[in-house]
Amino acid sequence: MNTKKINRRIFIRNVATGTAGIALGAVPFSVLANNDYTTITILHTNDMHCHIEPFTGTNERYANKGGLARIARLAKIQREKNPNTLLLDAGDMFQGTPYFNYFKGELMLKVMSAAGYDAGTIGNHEFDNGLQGILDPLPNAQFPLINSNYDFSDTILDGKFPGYKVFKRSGITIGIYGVGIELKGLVGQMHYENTVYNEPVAVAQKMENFLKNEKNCDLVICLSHLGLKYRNSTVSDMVLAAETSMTDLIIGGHTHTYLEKPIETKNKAGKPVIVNQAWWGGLVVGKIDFVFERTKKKKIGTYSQVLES
Amino acid sequence: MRQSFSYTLLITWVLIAVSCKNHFVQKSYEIQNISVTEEQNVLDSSIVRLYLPYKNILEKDMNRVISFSEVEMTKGKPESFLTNFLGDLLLNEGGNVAKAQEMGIVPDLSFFNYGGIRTSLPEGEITVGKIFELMPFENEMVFLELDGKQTQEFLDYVAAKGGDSLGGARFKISEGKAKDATIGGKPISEQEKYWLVTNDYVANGGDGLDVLKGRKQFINSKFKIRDAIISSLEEKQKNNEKLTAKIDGRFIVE
Repeated sequence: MNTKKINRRIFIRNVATGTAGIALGAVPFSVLANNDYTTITILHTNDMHCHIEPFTGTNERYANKGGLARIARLAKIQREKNPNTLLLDAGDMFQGTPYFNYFKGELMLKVMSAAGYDAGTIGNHEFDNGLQGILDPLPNAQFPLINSNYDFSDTILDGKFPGYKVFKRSGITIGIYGVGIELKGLVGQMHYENTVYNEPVAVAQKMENFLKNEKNCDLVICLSHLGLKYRNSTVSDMVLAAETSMTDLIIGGHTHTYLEKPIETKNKAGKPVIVNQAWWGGLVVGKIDFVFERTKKKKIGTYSQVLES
Repeated sequence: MRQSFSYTLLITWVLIAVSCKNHFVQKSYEIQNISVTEEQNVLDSSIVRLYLPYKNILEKDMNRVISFSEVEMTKGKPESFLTNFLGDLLLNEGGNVAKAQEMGIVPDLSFFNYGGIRTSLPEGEITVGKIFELMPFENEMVFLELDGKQTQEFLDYVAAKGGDSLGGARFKISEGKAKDATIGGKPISEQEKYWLVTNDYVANGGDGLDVLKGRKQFINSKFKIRDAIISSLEEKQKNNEKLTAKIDGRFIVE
């Protein structure tokens, strides 16, 4: 018999005998405690480009830095500190070291699975060996690759990538969707074949609404491989941030941007949204801790009021 | 009576418990970007065990030194050691491949897309692994024949990008256009046709190079660009020739 059941029994018995005070003490803390804070930790990478090992000692800028082998350890330590941790990747896992040339995506996906990745998305370099080059190593990924704006239905990858994923951590619901960059002009057509690219802003708006209002997510995260921002009007993470209203965090990639710290900006509804990118090659890990308060009241304030105060 | 009161109480509690369960309010957040360094983050031993057998297979090949460079080469715009070095190397190797495959042509121009150059070359030893890092893609060397107008349009594209890895041509970058361009030392002519050696990625319109799709002729050597770089370096090494690079004013920004 598990402890939950035991506690529930005690709870019922105590209530039945009218000793409510004792009942409070006997109920699991996580269910009734008044000021119960839960932290969801998001760790994220992007543009790993098969940097499984740290950069080699001869690399003038990054010698011995970065790499998945270090990140795996870092993530394990974080999970020990806070089991409510999600490790996410924003695409371009493939291409960049001989590990890819020799073993295609197989080793990278194996190592990411062993490192405990909870989800990833598809970057343009995932297409480097064509659609077959994605399909073949895919069984090695023990985590979903989430994408909401590529339509693979007319390709061999049909049904391989979920459009969203909902995680529950200590009762908190976290919804993740993913958007990929326009492939035309960036990836050879022979490599993406009949993959259809849907405009990311409209997709993001639809997905955030779905996750927030239909899946009742407390936290909505976008995994994006659009790039942080461009001089022209090309859709980017900053465009997405300004055009969405229920996404709390946009984890980006593609532009290999180094950010001293994550960007805090306002969304379409004037509410805060965080946009981040973690350089490339595993040189940086982004860490966002969202602190939630469990409350008896319906709602003690809106997201923005709380954050702005 | 007492029992029904208790049940009411119980139901109320359960309702509160259930409703509480779904109500979370985000109070605050903390944000941070953590640098992944040797000092702060040790390697995960189980991950190392996982990739070690793969690494052993690779290392046999990758650690072979194939060349020495007198200078560190990094990429930059409009010109840089690395972009000039690679542009010139491709023009030369393209000529060798065209000859070896009896194509009956000599490339006039060479082009590497800037984004496809993935790392720098260090001063000193250059290994096979370094060339894999530099040019990780499995791209093939292709030859395209462009007419004079298309060639000018292509050079304008390079100019608009603020310079790129280009061999065989020189021009002034003036308001995002290639002005007073020369190819092989001669002014570009609308009546002439020019052969460009590049990779199949850009030849198929990659990086927005739609102009290349309108080429007059197309030959795919099926020879990998990376293999071309490796064989060129090995050839130089055989002749005891160290790698060097220069900024030669092929692009003058006006």
